[in-house]
Amino acid sequence: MSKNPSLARRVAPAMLLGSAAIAVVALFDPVFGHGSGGGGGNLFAAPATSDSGAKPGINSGSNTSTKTNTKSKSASADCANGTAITGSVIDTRYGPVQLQATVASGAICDVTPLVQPSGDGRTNYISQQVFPYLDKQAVKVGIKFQAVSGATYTSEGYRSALQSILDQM
Amino acid sequence: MTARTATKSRALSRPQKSRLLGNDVWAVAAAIVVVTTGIWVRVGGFSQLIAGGNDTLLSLGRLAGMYAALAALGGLLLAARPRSIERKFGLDKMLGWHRVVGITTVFLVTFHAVIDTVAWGIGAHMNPVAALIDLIRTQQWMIAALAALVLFLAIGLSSWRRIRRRIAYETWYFVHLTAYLAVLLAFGHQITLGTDISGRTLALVWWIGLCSATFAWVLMARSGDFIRSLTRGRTVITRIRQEAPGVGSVEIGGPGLRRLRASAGQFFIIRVARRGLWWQPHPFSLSAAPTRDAIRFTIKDLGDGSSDILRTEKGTRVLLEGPYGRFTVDEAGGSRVVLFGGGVGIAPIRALLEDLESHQQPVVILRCKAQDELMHLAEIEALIAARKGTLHVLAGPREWFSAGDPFRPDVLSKAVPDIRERHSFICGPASFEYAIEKSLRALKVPSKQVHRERFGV
Repeated sequence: MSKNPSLARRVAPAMLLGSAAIAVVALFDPVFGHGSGGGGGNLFAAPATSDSGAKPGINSGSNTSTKTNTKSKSASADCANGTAITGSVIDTRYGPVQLQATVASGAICDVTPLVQPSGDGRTNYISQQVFPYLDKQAVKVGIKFQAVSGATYTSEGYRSALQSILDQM
Repeated sequence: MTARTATKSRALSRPQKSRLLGNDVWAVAAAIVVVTTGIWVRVGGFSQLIAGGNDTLLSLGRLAGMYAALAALGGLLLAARPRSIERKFGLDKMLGWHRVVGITTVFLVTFHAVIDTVAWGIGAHMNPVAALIDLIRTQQWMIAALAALVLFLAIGLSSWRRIRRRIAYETWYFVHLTAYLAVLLAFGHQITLGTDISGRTLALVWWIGLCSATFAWVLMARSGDFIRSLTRGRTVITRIRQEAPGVGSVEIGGPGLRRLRASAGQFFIIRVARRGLWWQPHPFSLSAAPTRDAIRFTIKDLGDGSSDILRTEKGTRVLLEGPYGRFTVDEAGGSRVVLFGGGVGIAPIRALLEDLESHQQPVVILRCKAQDELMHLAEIEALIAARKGTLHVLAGPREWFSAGDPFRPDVLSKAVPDIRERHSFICGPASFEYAIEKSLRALKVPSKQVHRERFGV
């Protein structure tokens, strides 16, 4: 038996594990590595089913889903007679984005995507999850909506597409 | 006789009792689990669970993740041995729970990671490997969470008995310390991605509050014992003596003892302030009732760092963390007792004897492989004689005893006819304690009357 084990030899495995963990995070985390910026909702745990998807699907910063409902109900009458504006096509890393907005009494009351990134399963999935959320956010808070973490490129493309509509108003 | 009363008056006062009731601890732990589960239900966890398919996976993964985090926090807290909890339950029990909670953490974390990766893959039409890479590349703090998973697995594997036996205690200990890093690394993805927490103000307050309160308590408990050991005043080795082959006793004295509170039967975690030894903490039991003049430990040469203490010069400073344990005569409440000591576990039994009164009529049963392993025999005989007790020594290999078991129920009840009225104190190797406890159960000794101090946790 080693009578006098050296501290260095005993600590080495733990140090190796610990520093490898920290190094890997510092190098490869999307925040530290690619600088995608936080905030907004996140894509995780978005259930594919219909109605429950509204609440737990994408975490918005505030839980004002009920508020939006009442608002859209009173505005829906106006919205039906509103004018449609089609934005320009914005290219993103994952594909083009084009939006159509309905404007009633000088404000956007509805947004629907005409073109959204599609292709592989992953891109389809993100678009499916992100667009309904961003459409609501665009009506609620306008151009200053928070990007969805995990879908930064799509969010920014959406922002530019929305801007092109605002420019026409 | 005068000598004995003189020592009595110099005896250290007993540690203060914990003001906690056992139920307090359970109530708080249960409340934390209930609130956390409540958040999960509130966010649709239950309806998702019964929805089937991917939803079921996602909701299971979420719940497993949160329970894993709670278990990890509980594990850290138990290992940090806060005084109030330790005095209530005793460190050996807490470390037993720590083991259960730790194993739970490793399994829950693994389950959570696998389930959520698979679910993410199903949603994105990817195989699990592609889904894992995708999660790491697109989601904040996911690589940190993965690193935490690897650390938890390393901790779990290194504690697995087969591997634990092959590596040095200190190697295992330092790997175990990375649990702090793992908990911190895993925290990020709970806040940014945790469906139940992320973006929900109340849930965030609850979760961050819970985590930071636990961490604060852990830091205070960890540093508290160490700081006390440094500021208590000097304690130095005053005498080292050989007691039996491979067994030595170390006496510690110095002004630091004046501010110490301890009872016979308790143990300390000792660091020898000497080059190459200071970073190795070792748990040792008192082998004599502690006084203001000296406390004594009896140490078996196990071939690891612990024996180095027996080769230290007199006057070397030692740091005493503790005392720990509830293995004291207070547990008997003045009733008659029977004491079982096995191997080096004889030493704490020797200390307990000193605190007993003669109306407790101690029966002492000592077990060792060879007669010359019996440490402190003369002292033990004198203490028993002064208390009108009886001594049984069971020496020799196990095969010498009928049915290979020196502690068969019929043998025990013959040696100690009133064993059901007595409080039993057991100290020794795990197999020794197990054999005795089994017999005591067979003899229907109430479990409240059985007290043990497990060695080698």
